[in-house]
Amino acid sequence: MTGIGRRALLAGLAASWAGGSALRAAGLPDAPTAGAPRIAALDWGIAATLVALGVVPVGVPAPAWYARYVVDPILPSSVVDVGLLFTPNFELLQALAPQLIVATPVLQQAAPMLQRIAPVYSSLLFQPSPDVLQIAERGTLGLADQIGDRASGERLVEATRVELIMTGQRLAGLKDRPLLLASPLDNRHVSLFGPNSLYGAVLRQVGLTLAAPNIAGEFIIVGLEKLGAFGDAMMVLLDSPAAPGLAGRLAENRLWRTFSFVREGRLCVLPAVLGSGGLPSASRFSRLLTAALNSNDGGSQ
Amino acid sequence: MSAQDRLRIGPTAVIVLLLAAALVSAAMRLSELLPVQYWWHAVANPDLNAYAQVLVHDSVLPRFLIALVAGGALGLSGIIFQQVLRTPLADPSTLGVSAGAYLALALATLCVPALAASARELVALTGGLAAFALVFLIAWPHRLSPISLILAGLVITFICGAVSAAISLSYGMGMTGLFVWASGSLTQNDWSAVSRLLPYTLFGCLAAFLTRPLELLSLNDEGARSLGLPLFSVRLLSIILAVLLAASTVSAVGVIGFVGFAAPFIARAAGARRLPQRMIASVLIGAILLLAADEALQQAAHFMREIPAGAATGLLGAPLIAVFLRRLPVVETTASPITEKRNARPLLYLAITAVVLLALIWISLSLGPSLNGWSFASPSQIQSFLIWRLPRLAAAAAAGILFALSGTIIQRMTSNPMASPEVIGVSTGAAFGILLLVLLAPSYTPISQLGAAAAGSIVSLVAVLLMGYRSRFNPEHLLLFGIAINTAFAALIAVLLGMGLPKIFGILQWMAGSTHSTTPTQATIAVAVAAVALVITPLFTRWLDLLPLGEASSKALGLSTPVSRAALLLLSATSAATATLLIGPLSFVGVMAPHISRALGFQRALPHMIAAALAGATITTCADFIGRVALFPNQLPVGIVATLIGGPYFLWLMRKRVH
Repeated sequence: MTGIGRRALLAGLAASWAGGSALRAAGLPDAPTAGAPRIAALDWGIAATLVALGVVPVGVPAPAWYARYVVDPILPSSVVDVGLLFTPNFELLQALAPQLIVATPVLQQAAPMLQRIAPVYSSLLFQPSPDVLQIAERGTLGLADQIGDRASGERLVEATRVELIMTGQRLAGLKDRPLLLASPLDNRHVSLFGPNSLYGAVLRQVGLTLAAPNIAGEFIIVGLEKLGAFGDAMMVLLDSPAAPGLAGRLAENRLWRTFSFVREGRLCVLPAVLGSGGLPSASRFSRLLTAALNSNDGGSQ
Repeated sequence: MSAQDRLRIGPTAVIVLLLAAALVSAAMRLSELLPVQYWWHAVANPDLNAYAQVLVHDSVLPRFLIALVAGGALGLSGIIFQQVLRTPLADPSTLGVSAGAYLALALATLCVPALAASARELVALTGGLAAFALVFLIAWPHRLSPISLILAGLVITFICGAVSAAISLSYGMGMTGLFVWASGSLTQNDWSAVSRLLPYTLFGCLAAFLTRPLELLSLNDEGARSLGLPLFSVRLLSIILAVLLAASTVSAVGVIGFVGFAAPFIARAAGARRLPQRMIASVLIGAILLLAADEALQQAAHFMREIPAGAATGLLGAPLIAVFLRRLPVVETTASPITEKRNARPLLYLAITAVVLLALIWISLSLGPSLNGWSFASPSQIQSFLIWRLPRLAAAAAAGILFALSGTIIQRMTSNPMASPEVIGVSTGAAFGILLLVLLAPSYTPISQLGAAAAGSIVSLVAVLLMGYRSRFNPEHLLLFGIAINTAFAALIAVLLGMGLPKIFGILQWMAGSTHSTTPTQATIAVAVAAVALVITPLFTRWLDLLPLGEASSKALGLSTPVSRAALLLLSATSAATATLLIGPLSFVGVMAPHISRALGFQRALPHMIAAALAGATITTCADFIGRVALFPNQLPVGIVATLIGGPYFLWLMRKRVH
């Protein structure tokens, strides 16, 4: 055992010396261990959930973009890029010889060809609806069953629930303050998230209220100036995954600075969180939210 | 004042009413925000601590002004384009400015997202001007003749569109900001856009000095020259002016369709005859149209989610293009008979083409990159790759054959070597049919998709042929019609993308042509359809041989033209619809393949068609191979690669033709 540990550590050190990621620097195994199933995950949310369940997928589409959108949990660099989200490369997938391919229902059209490579499991982790979190939980348990490790699935569901309960306790002081959830698209427009988004569902779960409860889909796109109408709300601004730093630059706008949540200090900026990333994204969001709101303390003084 | 110069009441009254309604609406919205006594205060010197005052000063006011300025700029740009290009179908996007701006933003969003988000206007302006520079370089050898500019603009628009589609398909999630920009939102929160756009618009007033030479441009080249007009310089100056106006507008507020196209038309309908009047009227009408549209949308936002102005004008404008088309003046042009050298050894050439095709197929099936680099599979090893490489190749080749057949028929029917299902809008019609099906029907099958595609392509082909019939198949009119249809469709797609409809990615993917996940069964069906078409088409050989001779000669030779036309039309439209279903509406295969075949010397209908089919299959096979390996492990849709190959070829063909 110590031998393996030392070897992994050495490998990790060598990898980090070569410019590796934080995970490799921590000495975690770079390649999946012999017993782990070889799974190709054709969606970033599925990949994130699999990593959280303890299985590193062998292939993921565009891992460089995963790093930008999902951030946490980190994908080790051993993961092979299998092409684009909507058009995975079949030949490459076959060369990877996965035992299971997990895809979202979006890839339904490609299913007949994917089935020639390995059994295909269609996993739904996100759908804009009032029970976003329940869908993510069911999807996670389904995935856990597929990899034959129901227990770790239940652990992940339980851990996420506990995390959200603790978030609710830590943020109990903000119960009466409605929250706005938005993410900048450019310097004129934001996506305003509603109760059917992953973020909205987390807020509801931790007992906070949403200032814009009448949004049917995941989000609507509104002009920046419309946000001034939410007088007493607290603004939670998710940074743009495509252009990090965009949220911070809104402060350069004079109109933005007259909004009461800006003037009265009820604004917190979070790094990007993938809205379709399932339970790992939900807990990442709740962690970031807790840290940001606690340091902000709601502008109540 | 002659009777012609008199103001016509109808259109003028409508425009004045629109302006009045817009002003009332703006005043109503303003009074909801701020009591009347504070209005002047908010405009002149807003209290920075009062949200409502800053809102009026930094958002309501600039939005009102940008609608006026952008609308006026588009109106002016539109009328200059229409005058210089001598067609009422031109608009500020005709010379590729919008498509170039879109592509530049898409590339920037992909590679330098920070730049795309913070310097959006600059990136868009650069892209728009770069695209125009290309159009300009292409049309330069033709002394910037209108048709060369229009065709170059068409090709650059297609190519930019294909690359942008590939990018937004691959990285859709990060492109929401781009989609919002493309749907033309007038939302403002500071004065930067107004202050950037205003100087360009004032610069546009230089057009006043160009009115007289511009007016003479409506004569033909010889007439204008005989009056001592430095034709080339006038054209150059006016185009640069109009492009600057278009590019600055598109960079400030995104793609706003239809205004620049409709304003000059309404100006003329309202009774403005002479160019100076029409220019002033066009600026005013453009400004009022955009302002009224934006006010209407903001009022409507009380009941529904807000639609961006550009999207709304594009959507409302698309059906009206049909009305404009009916009013196009009919220009008699005689189709020049095709006189090229006839091939002495047709069978040898056919055999060579077939061998080239087979060699390409063999290479494509054997060669490819994988985890451990490139490998060339021996015939015994091919077996394991066949299942991945053969179905998509077969589907692509079938589409190539179908597009080639459809293109050959259309080119022979219209005696126009530049016509093809893609260029004259037949594929776009098919795409439109499928789009409606996907959006409206609860579920769809391959059969209903084919039905929708066929219906769409038949409708657009009939429309285009009716149009063509009226103008005696004037080649330029056919192309312009196609451009109008393609532009309208692009606007529709932009709207759907900008509204973030979930189904749209499936449509986009199909639009770009998804042979990616073709199953062996689907490939077999595609090949079977292509084979049936190949067998049926020779039955029409006699008609296709006679039709290019002209209507009188065909009749004299005993050809029942309405029946033969209808049958050929059906065949051509169905082939184009099936091909579109396979590899999407953009490809240029339908224009390239028949032309290559003719260049090889195949004149008579039967060998022309067979050689075109072989050439079409060769092009798409090649495109499939490039798309599979070029950006491994990422894959490019075959339709997009075919556009990238076909666009330059089309330009080369144009170069030869105009000389």
